[in-house]
Amino acid sequence: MNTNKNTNKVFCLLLAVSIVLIALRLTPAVQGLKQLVYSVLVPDIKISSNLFSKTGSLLLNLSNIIKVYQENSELKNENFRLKQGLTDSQLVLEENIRLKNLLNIKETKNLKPIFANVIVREPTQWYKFVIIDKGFKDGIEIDNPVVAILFDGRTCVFGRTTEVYSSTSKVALVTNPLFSIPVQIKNLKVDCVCDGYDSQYLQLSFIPKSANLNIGDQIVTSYLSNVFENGIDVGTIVDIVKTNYGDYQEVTVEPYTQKHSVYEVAVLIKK
Amino acid sequence: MNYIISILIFFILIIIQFVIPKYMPLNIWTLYPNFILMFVVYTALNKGIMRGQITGFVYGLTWDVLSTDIFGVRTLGFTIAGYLAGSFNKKLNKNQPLTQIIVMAIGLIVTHLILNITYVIMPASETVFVQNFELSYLIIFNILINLFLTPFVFKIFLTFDRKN
Repeated sequence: MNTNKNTNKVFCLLLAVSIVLIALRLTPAVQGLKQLVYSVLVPDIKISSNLFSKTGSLLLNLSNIIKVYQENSELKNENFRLKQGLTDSQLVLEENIRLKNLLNIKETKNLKPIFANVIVREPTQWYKFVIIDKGFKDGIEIDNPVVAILFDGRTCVFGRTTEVYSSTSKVALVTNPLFSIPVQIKNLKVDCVCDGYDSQYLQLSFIPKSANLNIGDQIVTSYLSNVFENGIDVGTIVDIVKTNYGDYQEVTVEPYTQKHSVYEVAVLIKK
Repeated sequence: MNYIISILIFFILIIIQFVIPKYMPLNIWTLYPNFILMFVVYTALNKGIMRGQITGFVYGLTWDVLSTDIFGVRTLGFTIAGYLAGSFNKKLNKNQPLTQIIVMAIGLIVTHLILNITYVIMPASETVFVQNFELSYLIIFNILINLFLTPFVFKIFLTFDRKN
């Protein structure tokens, strides 16, 4: 009973205080009380608020990092695809140029071009043979001249057919030791023979010591060739050795076909 | 030890009630549950009138300090809610969810009633949102959310209480 009385007294007191607070809410005393409680509580509120905002910003940063990582990997993939596309289009462009150049080959009186793709080039036979995708069905015969087209549009000696099958042919390259062709130094009108020797270079035979050759001189096919027409580019002189013995110079030629990759060729067949 | 726990609970509740809503959208904020009143009612229902009214007074005063509402209005409302809820101590089965909901409903109604009466009697000069009568659908919805959550929150309080 006594406890109840105390409880009620406390309740009345608290009610009175509350009502006084409401009534005097703007008086300096109440404002002071408010300030006091506020100063006790607000640091805690600030700390927790900072804690929450920092946690929030941490989570935001984390999600941003994940987003950036995802975006980065997507961009990398896209970059890879674009690079691949660029390479593909570059290859297509190069092929386009080569094919356009092939189309520039003019039919001569006796010969017409049959366009073919190089389909096999074995590493062990790198300087000797290639297989092309045209054969006797297309009119190709043994010992037909095969020419390649350079990027600048010039035709150059590539080789000659040595074996012909129904839809493929084996071409002996200009660098093959079996390959030998009469050639001419373009400006000097000096005739000689060009031989392959299973390397990236060719050798010129029968050039007299008196002939004034220079490095860089161009070699073209001669009138004496019964396979190739005259004037087809073969290569350029890269080395000249004049020895004390013998009557001839030792001249090394770099064929044009070694300077460029050749994927399409033209077999010149009789009309 | 009890004082330290009480202070700890006090700060936790203040953080839950005042800090977390800051990071919520405004439309959810208005429906945010009144955890402090739940604690006042819980304390009153379990510990009696004296503890209930003092808890109500302290928490109400704190609310008034931290809000821009009419100063003293929550102190009065929570004190009365604590007193009324405490008067049901030992008279009702306080572990029954329905009892908890009913007592909480009384506390909520009293608080809102006092708030609205105060607004009517003295148009607030400190408050930004001056309303003629606050009983809108939002208030009703807020009360319903509070009542729905009451048994769960009381269970958490009870678990915490038993551990100490």
